[in-house]
Parts: sequence; structure tokens; C-alpha cells
Amino acid sequence: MNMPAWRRWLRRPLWLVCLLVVSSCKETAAINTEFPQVTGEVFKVQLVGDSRDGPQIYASLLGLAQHSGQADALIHLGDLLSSPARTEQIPLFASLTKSFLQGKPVYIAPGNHDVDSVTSLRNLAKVYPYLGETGYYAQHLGGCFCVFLNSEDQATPGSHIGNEQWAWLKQVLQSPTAQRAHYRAVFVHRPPFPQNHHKDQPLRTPEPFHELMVAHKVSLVASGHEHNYSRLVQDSVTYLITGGGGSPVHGSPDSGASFFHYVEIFEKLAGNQLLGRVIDFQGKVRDEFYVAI
Amino acid sequence: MWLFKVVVSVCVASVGLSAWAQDKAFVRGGVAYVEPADAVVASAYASQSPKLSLALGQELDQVNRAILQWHHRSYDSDLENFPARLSLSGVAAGFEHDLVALANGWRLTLAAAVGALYLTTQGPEAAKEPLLDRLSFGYNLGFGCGYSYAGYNVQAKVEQEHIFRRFLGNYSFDGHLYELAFTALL
Repeated sequence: MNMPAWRRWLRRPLWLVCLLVVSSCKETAAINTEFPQVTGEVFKVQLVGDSRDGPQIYASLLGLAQHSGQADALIHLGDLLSSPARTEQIPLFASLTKSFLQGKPVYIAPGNHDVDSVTSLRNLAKVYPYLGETGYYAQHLGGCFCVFLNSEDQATPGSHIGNEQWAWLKQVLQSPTAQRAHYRAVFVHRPPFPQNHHKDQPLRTPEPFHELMVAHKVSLVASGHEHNYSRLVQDSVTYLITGGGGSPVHGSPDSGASFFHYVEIFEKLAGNQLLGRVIDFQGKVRDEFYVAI
Repeated sequence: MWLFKVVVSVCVASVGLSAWAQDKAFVRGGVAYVEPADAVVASAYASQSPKLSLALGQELDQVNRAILQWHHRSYDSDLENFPARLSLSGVAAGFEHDLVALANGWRLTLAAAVGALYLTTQGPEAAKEPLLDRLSFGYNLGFGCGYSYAGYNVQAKVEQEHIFRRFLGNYSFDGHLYELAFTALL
């Protein structure tokens, strides 16, 4: 018995509809979120850097962090854009970040892919007004007096940290507000002591910078710029590099430093110490450390 | 940008002239609502305008058509203090095939197109970038239902659009399109 013509026709597009449905499906990856929870009254800060070319990975890291317990603040260590000219990415970054933070604040230390002119800094400051006209500022977070530097200082051409910013940094670290704080930390995109990809391009200039950190008892200096993870303790100052927020990682995966990640800092004031934990893209703890404060 | 405009103009003009010279050429205007597939893009940028398109085409036989299309759309940033606008313009070459020709002028159609897109940004002190950094490519797959009468056709179409990701620093501007198009034989 012959099938009616209209039914024969209806059968033909079915495979095309199936194709459209299949092509709209997204892949999902399994992640491990079974790492131990930190309990008790703690102030928790999440650090991430260099997310610029990997918004999907950045989103996954924020999701992972949210799953492990909402942080009280997010600190982005710069390079959130592909380049300073890509202003259309500013709303995308802002929207993506905001969707994971549930009203908690985000603080940015601008990077070389974010700022290369007064104009590009001004663009970022429209969305994050605390950056102001200079890109550097200080902020209390929990018991921390946090200093955010602009390593792309436009005030002194060719200098990572210009003369005015350097003078401001010295002044603000020796201020009674900073000294009364339980501890001090500095966040700057370019690391003073790069360990891998940018080893020959430290924040200018590292020696006086380190002397200043020691003199004012800064406990932690966190940076990005290198797309991997490293930790260095020098004269009781812990230098972290956390640039695995989404951009292609630098170096061989075998090195142990090259992986997508974020860092959680737990403030345990009663114990006079910070607990730091480095979480990779699969939710595994890759490093755990304490910083005396 | 001038190079892009020249290429578009030459393509449109040449296809227009060749279509005009033959029988069964047609012109089409369309309006589409674009639904970004990426939730971040959807939350950061609201559609400021629908996707407007203008196309010239040629009926190859009773069920197949070739089309050259120009299209434009724009999005506004949802951030109050950052009033940026993205505009996407492009040209696409496409092909349509009638899967089913039902009675009384109704037909079900499969459509596919590939094309180039150019992004312009208007916003607070937007910086200039080389043309190639703003250029991307994409393709569309669609399924439509149309009604033809006396040389005219009205078509409702659902499309899936993919724009290659490097376009916007790995933020995806893929989307789903719901289009209404009007076609008239020349």
C-alpha cells in the first residue's frame, strides 16, 4: 500500500531537525568539588588573574568557587580583556563576574591587556569607579589593609609604577590606618619576582619594592601576568603569582605550575594566619599554604 | 572599514545585476529577533534593533534558490554607566531548498548560508583596532514555513547562527533567530 504523498514529504526533513537539535547541545565536563570545607568565622577572598581569552574557563572557576562557599570578595589580578581596545568586552566581563558574586564586591588590579592609555583606564573606571583616574587605590577587606597597584601607570611613561604612585604607596603603607590593620597585602598585575614566562620582565623595580614590603610588614603580595601558579616566600613576605584564570597557560603541564586555577584566602584572625588554597579547574587542591600575619 | 564596504557593494551590485538579467530573480526583506545563545552576552547586551536583512536571489529551479544577503543588527550594553553599542553588519551567500510543497502555496524550506561579519563598537571613547580584528565569519542553518501567492512569498523561519568565537575574545555571539521575511519576484 502506497504511503500518501504528504507523509512521504514529512519524513524527509526529520533528519535535518535532528541535526539542528544535536548541534545546539553543549558539552559538559565533570568536576570534583569534594575538597574539605573551611568552617568557622572566616573572611574569605578569592583571587583570580588573567581571564582575558578564556571566559568559559573563568566562568567555570567562578562557579567552582561559588560551589565551595561564597567568597566575601573577589580580587581580579588584571588582564580581564583581550586588549585595551576591546571595550565591548567590559560589559561582558562585568556581567559574567556579577552573576557569580551575589552582590559581593570585585576589586581589580589592572593589567597590560586592560590599560595602555588614559582612555582605556577611564573606560574601566566607568564600570569600576574605585579605579579613579589613577588605577591605584586602597581598601579594607576583613582585617586586611589591601593596596591595589596599577602596574600600567600612564603618569610616568615607560615605568610600571610611576613616581607619583611610588610616593603614594610609601605614604599609604606607613599611614596609621595601614599600620593599625591586622595585616597588609598588595595586589599588582606584574609580579616583582616572576618565576616563569616573564622571568626577565619583573615589576620595576623589584629590590626597592621588596624592601618597602618588608619595612611595612606586608604579609602577602599577589600578582598575575604569568599564566600559571607560583609561590615564593622571601623575608616573611609571600609572593603569589596566580595567572591561570582562563588565558592559555604558560609552560609545560609537566612543570607543575601550568594549570587553570583560582586561589582562596581564608582569614583566620584568631590564629594570626592566613590559609591559602589553590584550586584547579577540576576542583582539586593543588597547593595549600599558611601566611603569618 | 572602507575595504569591507567596497567588497560588500561590489558583491551586492554584481549579484543584483546578474539576477536582474535573468528570469525568476527576486528581492527579499526580513526582520529577525535575535536571541543570544550565550547567557553572558544576553545579560550584558540587550538587542537594540532586530536583525534587518535585504537579499537578492535567483530561483534555480522549482525548489532551489540562491541568495545573497546583507544584514545588520545592533546591541546596547545593559550597564547604565557604560553605554556601549555593538553593531554587527555582514554579507552572506545562501541556498534554500523547498523540502515540502504543500497544497495552496504553502511550503516548508531548509536554508543554509555562510558569510562574513564586521563588528563596530560605539561607546565611551572606543578605541580603534585594525579591520581584520573586527572581521569574522559565520554560518546559519534554518527551517522555514512560507506561503506563496501571485509572485509574492511570506516566510517565517527559525535559524541557528554560529559566529566563530575568536571574534569577540572567545565570548560567543551565537544566536537563535526568529525571522519574518517578505519576498517579491522581480
